[in-house]
Amino acid sequence: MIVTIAGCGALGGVIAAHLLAGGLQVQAYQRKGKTLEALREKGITLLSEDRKSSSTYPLAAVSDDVSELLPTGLILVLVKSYDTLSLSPLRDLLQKDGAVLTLQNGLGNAETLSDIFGEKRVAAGITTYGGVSLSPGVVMEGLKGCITFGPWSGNGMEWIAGILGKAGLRIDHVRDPRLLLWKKLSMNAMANPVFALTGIAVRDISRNPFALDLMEHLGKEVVEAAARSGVILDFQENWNFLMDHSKRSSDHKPSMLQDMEAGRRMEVQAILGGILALARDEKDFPYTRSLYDLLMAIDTSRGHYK
Amino acid sequence: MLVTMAGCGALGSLLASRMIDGGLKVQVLQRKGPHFEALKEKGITIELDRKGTRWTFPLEAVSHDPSRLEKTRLMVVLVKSYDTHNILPARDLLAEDGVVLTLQNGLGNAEKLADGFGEYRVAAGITNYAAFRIGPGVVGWGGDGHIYLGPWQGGRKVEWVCSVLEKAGLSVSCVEDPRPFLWKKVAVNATINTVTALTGMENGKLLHHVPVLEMMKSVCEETRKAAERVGVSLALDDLWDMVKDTMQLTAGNRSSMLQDIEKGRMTEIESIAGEILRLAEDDREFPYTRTLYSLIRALDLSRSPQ
Repeated sequence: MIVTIAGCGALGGVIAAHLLAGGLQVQAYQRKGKTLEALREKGITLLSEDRKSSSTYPLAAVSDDVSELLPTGLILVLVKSYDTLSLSPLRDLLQKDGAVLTLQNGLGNAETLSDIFGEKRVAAGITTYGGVSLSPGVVMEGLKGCITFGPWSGNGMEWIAGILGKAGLRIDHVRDPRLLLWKKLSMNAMANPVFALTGIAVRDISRNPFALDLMEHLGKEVVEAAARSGVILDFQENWNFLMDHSKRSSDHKPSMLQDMEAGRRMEVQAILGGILALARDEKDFPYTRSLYDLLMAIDTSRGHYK
Repeated sequence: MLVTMAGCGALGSLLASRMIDGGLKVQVLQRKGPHFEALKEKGITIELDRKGTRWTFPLEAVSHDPSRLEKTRLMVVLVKSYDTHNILPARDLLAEDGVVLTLQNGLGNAEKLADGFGEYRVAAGITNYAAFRIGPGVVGWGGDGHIYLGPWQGGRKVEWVCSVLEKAGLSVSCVEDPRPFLWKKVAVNATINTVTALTGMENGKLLHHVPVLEMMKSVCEETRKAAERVGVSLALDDLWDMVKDTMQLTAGNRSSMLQDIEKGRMTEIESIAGEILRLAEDDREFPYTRTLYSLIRALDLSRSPQ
């Protein structure tokens, strides 16, 4: 079976390399740019953690044009959340009994994919795999992680765990992925905006009471928003996880900070917009709203919204 | 007449140059550093336009030590608000019937000066003259404005201060109670300075971002409530009009807090948003001000040597 990686950046590259090393055929749906050129020419190169050895794997196909790609049984979605709609052309490539699994940040992606592919073929999950892009087509694995996922509607999809697990990825199946997505969202909503606007190093966060104070307010708003959509989160559990995670982080930069520094569009809508959509009125969720407004103003002033 | 400028940074230099131009003598109390050395050697240099037209204004004396300066009837304080306590040793410099006038940003400065100089000798005011630092001893003219000032202790007469400054060519109004004016300026600083510092935008650019304007208006409402708790009653519309007017009048300027952030200097957030939050009933009140405060404090802390 051919697995398609939609969005073969740092994380997509690491996952692709694992699958290729495990003997699967992998193709990449990738927008035009240096990464596409590099993947096409050389395939994906995975550097070991000590940067001393590397392996390069050729891809079955690489293109931004579906007519150059092969029919596929599984699409892993790793494009930025605001680019999810750009996957529509893949609809005709996905085999009838195939599935599309989103591992993206934020809310709304599974819904968008359901509109494109039909909800019975959509699965959603989170991943703690991490990757750093060293140059186009060359990635290094960050955290050794795992994938946890489940069907977006109905049931099944265990077969995805079978295929990806056999190829060497650590992967768990759950019946309903919504709780997972909200947990991940609460991490992103608490931490990412604060890191993006202040540039604080992740490992320094526990020594910065002002950042912690703001993150606590944000974290409580996410819990409230989740409850309104029927998902019960435990604030203390999320908080402990975040603190624990930040202590173990060496010099990792959250994606939103990386985007901010590189002048790329940030995932403000998917991460904070989904929470604000659950506000009762414009006074609700003032902390989330303030950060949303500040980050959107920055993205707008950089010409990301026309 | 001899005027003492306590803190002769960008704004202090601009005002001092006007006074010298208008026939007053100015001596400077200034902390050591390259700017101090330049003032001592050459006096104040003002750059009037982008073509680099410069004028230099001679100073009577420049010292970091009050005992080396002459006794004076008028002392104008323009050190950063977190340095106000450093001015207290200069109390003996002020004649018994003299006035120490703070034109600093934020709240709490007049109170600190009153502790050292005696309440009856303190006047407070606001100004929107604008200046920016170009290099040691060299300051750019950012635009002329107006000064509102009045006695800190009700009933005291400080009209003579206004006439001295007015005669020297500054635009000045004497008011009975400066407190409402200080609070209006705080509303301006708590909105424009914080948001520009976080987004990197010039003051006028904020006018294009409607959601951010709504957030800033919420900060004005929080400021209004805080002022009410210390007996200063202001109308939301007045505060908001002043903020909007300031953005329009200073559209091309980079706020002092943005300049501080860019230069890696400590900001004056504590005397601005910090003073509003000290009047909150609990840690959930004033969420918009709290968000901006937390972000700026987090930034300040992350850049200070640990």
